Parts: sequence; C-alpha cells; structure tokens
Amino acid sequence: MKLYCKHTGMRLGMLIFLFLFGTADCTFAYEVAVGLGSTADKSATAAMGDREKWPMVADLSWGPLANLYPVALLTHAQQEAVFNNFRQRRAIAEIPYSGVSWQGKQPDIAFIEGFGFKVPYVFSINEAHQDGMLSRDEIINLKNRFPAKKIIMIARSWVRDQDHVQAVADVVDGVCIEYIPSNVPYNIARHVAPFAGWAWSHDKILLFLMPPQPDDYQSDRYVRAVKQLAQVVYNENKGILPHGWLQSDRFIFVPANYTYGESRIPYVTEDSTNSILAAAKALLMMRPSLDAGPVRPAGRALPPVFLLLP
Amino acid sequence: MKKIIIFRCAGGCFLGLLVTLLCLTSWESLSLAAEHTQADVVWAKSDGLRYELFSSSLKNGNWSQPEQVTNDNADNLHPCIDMGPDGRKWLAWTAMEQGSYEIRYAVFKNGQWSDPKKLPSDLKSNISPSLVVDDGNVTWMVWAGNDGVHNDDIYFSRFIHGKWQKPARVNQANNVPDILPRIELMAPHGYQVIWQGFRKNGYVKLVSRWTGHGWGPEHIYRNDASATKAKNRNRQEIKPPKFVPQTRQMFLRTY
Repeated sequence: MKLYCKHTGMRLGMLIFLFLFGTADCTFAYEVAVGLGSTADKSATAAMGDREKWPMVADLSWGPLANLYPVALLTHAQQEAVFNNFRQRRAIAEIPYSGVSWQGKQPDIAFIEGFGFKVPYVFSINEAHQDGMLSRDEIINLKNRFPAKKIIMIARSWVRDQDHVQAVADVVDGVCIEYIPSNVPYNIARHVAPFAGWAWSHDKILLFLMPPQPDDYQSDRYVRAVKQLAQVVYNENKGILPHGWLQSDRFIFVPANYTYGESRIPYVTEDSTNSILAAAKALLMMRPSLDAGPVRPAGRALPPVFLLLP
Repeated sequence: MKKIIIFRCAGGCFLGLLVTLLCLTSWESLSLAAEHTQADVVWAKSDGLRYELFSSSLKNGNWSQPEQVTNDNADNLHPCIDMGPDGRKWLAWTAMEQGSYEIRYAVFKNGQWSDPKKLPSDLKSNISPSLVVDDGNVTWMVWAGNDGVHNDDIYFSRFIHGKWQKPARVNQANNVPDILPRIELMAPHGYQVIWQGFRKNGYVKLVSRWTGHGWGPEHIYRNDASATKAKNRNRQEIKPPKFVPQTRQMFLRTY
C-alpha cells in the first residue's frame, strides 16, 4: 500500500513536472513551420515519411503549413507517414478564398484533422485581387465562417502593402509575408523586415513564407538564403524592438518548396547541405544568435534520470 | 368624432405630402450637387508583370474613359491626385524599379498628362506620396523617405517657381519608422500632415501642423473632421466607377 502511494506520488510529481517543463509548449522562441506546398516531384514530399531523415525538425517544428498540393496526391499510407512524423499535432490550413465552403465542412480542414491535427490558423489568399490580399469584408466573412480560428492573410511587400495592412489591423489576426529569400538584403529590409514591427506592436501572427528561386537547388543556396532573410529581419528590427522580441511564437518562419516551374530541392534530409528541412533546421539552430532563446525549450532536455523513474 | 377622424386623416395626408415634397426637393438638390461635383480617380492596375497607373474624371455625373498615365518598366503604386485653381492636376506615385524606390509625378494640362518626372531626392528610397495644391497653385507633397541608415521618416517639399524645394523632414529625429503620410488642408487655412509613427513600442497616429515657416512639433492625432477643409468633404458620397478594378491602390479626390 505504502509502495503504491509512494509510486503514485512520484508519478503525480513527474506529471506535474512534465506538465510544467516537459510537455507544455510555452512561448519561448520564434517557431519554424514546414510548408507542404511544393512544385517538386511528389516523391520529395513522400520522402518525409521517413522520420529518421528529419528527426530534429519533426520534433521541434511548429507543425505544417498545409497547402495540400501535392500531399493530396500521395497514397493514404504516405500521407499518414508524413503527418504522423510531426510531434506537434497542429497545422495551418491554407485555403484560397475562392475555395472556402461557406456551409458545412471545410474539406481541407477536415482532411488535416483526419490525421489528428488541430487547425488553429487559416491562411487565405484571394487571387481575384491583384495583390492577393483579403479585403476587410472578406476577413470578416472568414472570421464568421471560422470563429474559433485565427485568420491570416497574404502580403507580398511592405512597400506596396503597408497601407492596406495597417487599414485592416483591427480585424485580421495575422499576415503571411511571402517572399523569395534569395533576394538581396536591401530588398528584404524594405519589403519584409518592417512587417515584424507591425506584428509586434499590433500583437499579430506573422508568417515568413519563403519559396525558393528555381536555381536555389544549387550548392547550399536555399539554406543560405533562408538564414539571410531571418538575419536581415532580426538586424533591421533590433534597434526598434526590445531585446528578445523574437522570443515569441507569433513569429513563424516557413521554408517551402514551390517555385516557378518544377522545384529541384529535396525536402530531406535535414542534415544535407541544401534541402527544405535543412533550412528549417538551420532556422531552429539560429535561435540563440537572434536573441530568441535556446534551440530547444528548456523543459524538453530532460535529464535521463527522470526518464528512469518509475 | 367623424370630423376628428377626417381632420386627422387630412392632417396625416398633408404631412405625408409635405414630407414627400421635402424629400423630393432634397433629392433634387442632392442630384444636382452630384451632377456638379467634380472628381478624379486614379488607380494602379497590374498588367501581369507590373502596375501601371490610370485616371478618370467625373464631370456632369459621368466618369470619363480610363486614361493610361504610365507605361514603363516600374511598378507604379500609391497614386494621389489634386487639382489647383488654375485647373492643372498633379498626380504623384511611388515607382518601384530594379530595387529603386522613387516618387514620380505627372501634370495634366491642356487635356493630357505630361511624361512622368522624378521628384528630386538624395534619399535612398522614397515611397507613398500625398499631395495637395493650395490656392496659389503651389503643390505640397509629403512622403516616406529613407536615408539608407535610419528607418523611414516623413519628408516634405513644395513645387514653387518651377522647381521642388529640398526635401525636409516633418517628424522628429528618431530611429523608428514613420510611414503612410497624408497631407490635408485645414479650415480656415493651414495644413497638417498625419502619419503613423512607431512610438513607445507601437504604431500611433501622429500629426504635425504647418506654422507658416515649417512643421510644428508632432502630436498624437485626434480626429477632428470639422477642421478639415471642404476639399475632401464629398469623398464618401462619390463612388468610383465600376471599371476601377479594386479599391486598394486607388485614390479618389472630389473638388
């Protein structure tokens, strides 16, 4: 009986400890999500079914940005293998405004939820507008359609889009700045970096969606470009925002694999010199140098002794 | 009792007639006002590769056919237009071309737009202009400029005696972004610039007023619609023509 109580007490203590430090994904740093939208051969996506090829990203990433092309073309077993590798069971659903089902189930979200994921964010584009951004009314329509979800709209340039972004700041929950990271630092500073100040001061979600150029498969170009974008965003804002501003899960970097024509970049392995998930891993590894805390949350690095406890 | 009812009915009819008459009178005067309102709309439209600018004018209740103002390799964005007492219209916009960001402008006179010209500036980038033309046909322009070292600031220049003045900063010296300026005429006379500045870890709306010699200190902006002059009074009442593709990258000015 005593033994039982002792074990029960220890288990309870462990549970509390794990809850506080181990399993709770508290905000400690910017996040890295995996963009599943891809113009590479679908075999590149299917290769993510092998978790050994991306263990760190699978463990530490926020989850997928679920553009369902070409995931939807994989077999169900392949889809399951890819989705099951994400430790975090949450996803951002990418839904074009023209594809919103205004009644009943939203098929894209139902598809993602079918793999046991929660979908807290909906990212939408309206290509009927020249700039793709949602109008105020469209944002409100989406909020009414998905009342429990945060609505994120696309933007492509602070220079071009800042007035509209500021004008809808009271209704939109976040912005996804889609930008090719291999652009020169000056342009990243002008078109991308100021979104961080806007998101920070308005308490908004900000996705940095980074598709490659067609020739970014060469050498380590894509990984370098993604690191450069994060560094420029950090440098440009460190004189404006308080120290440690990137210690927030509102900022999510999203390497993706779609480009003009077919992409030749593989998703895996995360340890290769140039892959989508090598870029994701590089972003995770940059956290300390961008004043964004440790690579892993402190509670994640449990001393082995705790794992041996009964 | 019957008389009273008849009286009430008659009174009701009379009142109804009066209201209808008043409504018709007001409707007529509103229609007349709309017919006599002059307006310009300018907008940027993508041709698939880049944005070009177009304009249309409202006269006698009809919008003119769209007229293309730019045809070049730049993305032409953020248009703003105003007309002076001499009938000349000034249009300014941001031109983004091969990593350069400059303010360009064109003048409409004798029934046609001039070729675009560049606003002289030593700044590394210049975007998002706003302009008004005063009673003396002097054009006042503000925009967000960047010196390549600090964050964006609000700059100002006037076109006097055929040339632009050297750009001067409107906001206080700082190293935080100041963006999206808008210049307005104020009643009874005077000018104000309203913009968004990053202050105390967030964007706030700021205003600076013309003192006669320069721009006064910046303050937090509190909307006082009654203080702005009639120039934009009818802006909400006039709808842009249907051929304008969207409401973003569009500017509508009523006179």
